[in-house]
Amino acid sequence: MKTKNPLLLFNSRNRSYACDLIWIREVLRRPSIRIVDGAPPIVRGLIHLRGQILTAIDLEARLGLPAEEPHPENRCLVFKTSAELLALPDPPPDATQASSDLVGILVDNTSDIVPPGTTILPPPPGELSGIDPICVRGVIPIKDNLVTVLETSALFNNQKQPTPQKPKLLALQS
Amino acid sequence: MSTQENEMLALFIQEAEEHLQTLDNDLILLESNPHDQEGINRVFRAVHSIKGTAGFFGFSGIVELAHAMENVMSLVRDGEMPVSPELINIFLAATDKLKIMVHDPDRSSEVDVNYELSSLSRMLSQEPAESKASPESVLPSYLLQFNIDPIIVRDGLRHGRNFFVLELRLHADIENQNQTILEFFNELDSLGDIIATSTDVGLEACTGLQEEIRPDLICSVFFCTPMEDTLLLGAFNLPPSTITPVPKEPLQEWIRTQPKLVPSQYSTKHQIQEEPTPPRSHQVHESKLVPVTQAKSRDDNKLIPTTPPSQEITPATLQTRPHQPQSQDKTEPTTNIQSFRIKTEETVRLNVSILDTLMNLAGEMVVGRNKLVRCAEAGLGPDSIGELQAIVQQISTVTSDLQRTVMAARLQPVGNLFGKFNRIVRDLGQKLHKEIRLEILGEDVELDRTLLEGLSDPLTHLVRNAADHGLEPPEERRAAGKPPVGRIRLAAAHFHGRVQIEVRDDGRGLNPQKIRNKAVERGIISAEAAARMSDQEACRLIFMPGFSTASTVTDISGRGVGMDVVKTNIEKLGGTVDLESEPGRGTAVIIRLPLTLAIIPALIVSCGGRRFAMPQINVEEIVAPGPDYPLEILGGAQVLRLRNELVPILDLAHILGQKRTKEQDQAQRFALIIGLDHARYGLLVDEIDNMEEIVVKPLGRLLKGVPWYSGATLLGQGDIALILEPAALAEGRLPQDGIQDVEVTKSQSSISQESHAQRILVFRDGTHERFAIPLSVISRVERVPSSRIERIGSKECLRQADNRSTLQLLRVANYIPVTPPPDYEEEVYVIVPRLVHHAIGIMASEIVDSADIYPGQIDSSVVSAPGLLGTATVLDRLTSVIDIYGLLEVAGFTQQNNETAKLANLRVLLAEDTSFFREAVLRALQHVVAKLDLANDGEEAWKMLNEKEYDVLITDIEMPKLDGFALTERIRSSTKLCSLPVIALSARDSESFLNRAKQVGIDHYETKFDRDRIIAAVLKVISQQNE
Repeated sequence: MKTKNPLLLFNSRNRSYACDLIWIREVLRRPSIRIVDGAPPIVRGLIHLRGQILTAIDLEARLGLPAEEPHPENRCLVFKTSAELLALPDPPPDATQASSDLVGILVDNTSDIVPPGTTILPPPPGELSGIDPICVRGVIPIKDNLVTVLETSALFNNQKQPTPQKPKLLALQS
Repeated sequence: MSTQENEMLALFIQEAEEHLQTLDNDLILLESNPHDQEGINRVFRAVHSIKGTAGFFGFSGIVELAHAMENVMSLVRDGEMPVSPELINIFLAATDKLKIMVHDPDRSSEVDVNYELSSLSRMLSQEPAESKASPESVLPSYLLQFNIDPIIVRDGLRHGRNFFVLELRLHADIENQNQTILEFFNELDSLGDIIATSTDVGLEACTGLQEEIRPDLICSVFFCTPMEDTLLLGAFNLPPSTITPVPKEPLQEWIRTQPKLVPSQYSTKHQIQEEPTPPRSHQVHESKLVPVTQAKSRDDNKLIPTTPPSQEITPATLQTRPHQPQSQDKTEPTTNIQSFRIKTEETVRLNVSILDTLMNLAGEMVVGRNKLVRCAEAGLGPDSIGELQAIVQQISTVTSDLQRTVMAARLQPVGNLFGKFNRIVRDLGQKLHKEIRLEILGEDVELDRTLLEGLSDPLTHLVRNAADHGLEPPEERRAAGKPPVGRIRLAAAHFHGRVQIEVRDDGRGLNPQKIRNKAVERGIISAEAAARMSDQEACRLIFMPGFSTASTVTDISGRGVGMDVVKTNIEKLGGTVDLESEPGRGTAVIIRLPLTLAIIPALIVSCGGRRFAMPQINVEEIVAPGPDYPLEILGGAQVLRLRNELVPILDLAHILGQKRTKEQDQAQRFALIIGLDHARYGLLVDEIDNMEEIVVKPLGRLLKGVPWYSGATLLGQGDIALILEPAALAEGRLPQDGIQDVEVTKSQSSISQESHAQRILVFRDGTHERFAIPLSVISRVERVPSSRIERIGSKECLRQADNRSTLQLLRVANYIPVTPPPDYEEEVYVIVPRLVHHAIGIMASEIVDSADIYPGQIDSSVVSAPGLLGTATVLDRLTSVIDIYGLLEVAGFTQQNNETAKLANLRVLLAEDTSFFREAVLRALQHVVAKLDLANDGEEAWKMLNEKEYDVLITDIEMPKLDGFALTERIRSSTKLCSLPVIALSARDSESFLNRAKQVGIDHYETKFDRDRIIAAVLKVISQQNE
């Protein structure tokens, strides 16, 4: 499978990842994160982005990797919202699955852009163990490294996210 | 479709939806007031403009239906067809269809409108071709000058009114008597109906008459009234020459020539529904068109002045309509439609003046910014501070104005929302066969758009509830002496800076007892808590999750949403819900909302180094706990003594699970006293920062599940503060009975319990927490060296000095939630309770004192646990009052008895004046027997025994009014009750008492109050009876 659109390469905790560049709204440098007590583990906190509030996702927690300290928080990849994607002249087919509010993932750094037409290989067995397979499109070998290509739209549709304790349980009557 | 066309189409949908909304309301208004010419005109215009614009886009289905409606309406407008209930029904049905079609115009032709079309065309075809005679011919000549509304005349005739023509000189007859013309006509109107005036001066114009009509004008008034002519003249002090009575015969004759007024013609209309609907074809259109042209041709002889004849039914529009090819409607893909439909929902109509103000303010902002830039370029000098302050001042003023204006732009009158209920209530009334009148008050009150949107569903639910459950059927209302027409009132008003919205009905009201029972049945509250609640509190239970008042789920209400959802939704909007209900008089649900959601005043606080915003509306006061406001620990929970009240305290850091350092915990903290609708608590935070107007930003989807925050906001420096949701923070953390107001509990318990004091023993057990046990249940207190306490397994025991028996020792802290004690010192006290058959003792490290306590002092709202009666302030300290029988039960000193199953069907009456013993019996029996009623004295017990059926009576001996002996004597001498088993419970065990008890016929005399003994006693007496 060859890529149609350019991919953005980035690193987080010594792993390399790639995601669709078209989904990225901007990259924040050293954002200040407001931790939210009681938030589910995949939410690292909130970031103030020019008058708007963005939910920062912990990429490792989302992928199901162990959360080791220190967390990467050098850069924040801010994703476009579904409305922003749909407004593009040629919106990606899974644009409706994007988040309707601002979200971003915290990473160590961004490194490069992968041009369109690069071949994505299916992940070699065992290589990506522990990672939620829904989030992975495949891998790209770059130099000696295997880059994990993320299925961007899957990052926001977290079915398995444990619902936080909610004391108020509404018993609906039929 | 081009962008421009898309925009036009969006505009069409928006406009048509507005028209349809007003159409609904106007039709319902017309139904109750069929002669409202203005209303008829509005309906006509609405239908017409929908037809016109739909025709422009070629939506033939819409045009067809709107056209049929217009045809009928033009007859009505010209007074050739009355506004009948059938007409309103058909029009409402057609309006519904139009709504569906307009919502998705490209597929509008797929909507089946055959029934509506055939009904409408039938209305037209039933019209007679011509009136039989010239209507005016039969009337006396002096009436010909009037434009007479036949309906008023007909109604007047039916009611046997008298008809007069008044010839008035405006100046001489009216103004010379110190009356304005307006006053005169108002008064005249109040005495009867003004059918017509000949100067064609509408009453509306009368205000301007005083100045303009100086030379005497003759004004003729055709008037009908129940009064006689002399009375009428007397009332206005008019000369007899001004009045001419009109004979009724010619009027009746004339009415007969008014074809549309003969009711029999229209009574056949309802048959339409039974007849098969003709297929939708061009023929239908043809047949429909004929009467229209007839109607137009008769414009000349119309009876009622109307708006100028409409130009809309031109042959052109008529011709194009049927020939619109249907396929043309489907040329556009539906996806396009959907994308711009979102757009139509998002547009807001804005008053131009608001836009202008915004423009001006933006201009001022630019000026301010330029000044700032200049200031910054000049650099900081000695003068610049003053200059800077001036600029900041200006910018801050402009910003406030800007905020206010933008807020104003978001505000919309609640009338927009209330309006739709006219239709809903009407339909509900028909469906439920109830007559319902909807009253709408305060429709001008403005609310934020988002609030209005959020309010729509809860209000609909409440109105449905009121119609379905609140209002009784007409027969029931008549039987209750109420008018058969039920009223539902929707009212909005400003109230203490918030908006109050009320849904009130005058129906049967809530039944507090039924609600209590149901709540207990559903496990929402315990039976004790239910019994303690006031009626008002019990009614509020309907807001609890899992509760639904409808005993049967009907089509109207109970569609999967309960009142708890209403409450949750309102609270999400930052509002509160309250309830008022009076049996037989009705129910009112009162919603209070902030004016706007977007900006709220809030208190910024810090906790664990993070900042939070607490909506100011919930903060009653801020208290620094210390010597003045001591924080105490009661039953393991923190409470703050605030003046004369105990306020439960929650720690924000603890709720949020923050990790804390020692320094943080030792620093002076602050308690925000939070007032919710039915609860009050203190929230401990580290620091109070400031008060700020915050802009509420919603949290992202990933954080929606965290209940503690209602949103986030940006503070001055760009820091993010989370907005706290006070109700969610307290959820499940306050004592179970915390919904109750402490004050209410007190007053209630002092009514229901005896008013005399009880002596209690106050002790401590290792910690500073104090406990109390009523002296009446204590047999003795021993002081023993701790070396005598022996351990057997996990149990601590005390061998008695006589070596024959062993007391098992209990530590209070092991069974109820209190701070655990450290190890004992050299000596301990053992409190040995009486009236229990287990050999037990309660350990205490110190006996503090004894004191008197009034039952009203015991407050069960702060701490509530089995084994505790509640808390009370004794000897100036908070003290937990122990329920010894409860404690024994918690400690496992009762064996489950299989025999208790035998009691499951028993109905027991307990006559006991002392609350303490009453509690003891209650706790022993209430989950064992089917029913346990309480009587406060012998007299009351006697009354209850005669009113209801009981299987067993348990009675105290010493009671006010009628004691246990006398009560039993009465029972034994009564024919109905003589075989009722009677158990006496008393701590008095003297010989004389026991003898007396036998004498009067008491079956069993019990001196010990523990559960097993009581149950055994009951078992014994019922088995005796069975033998």
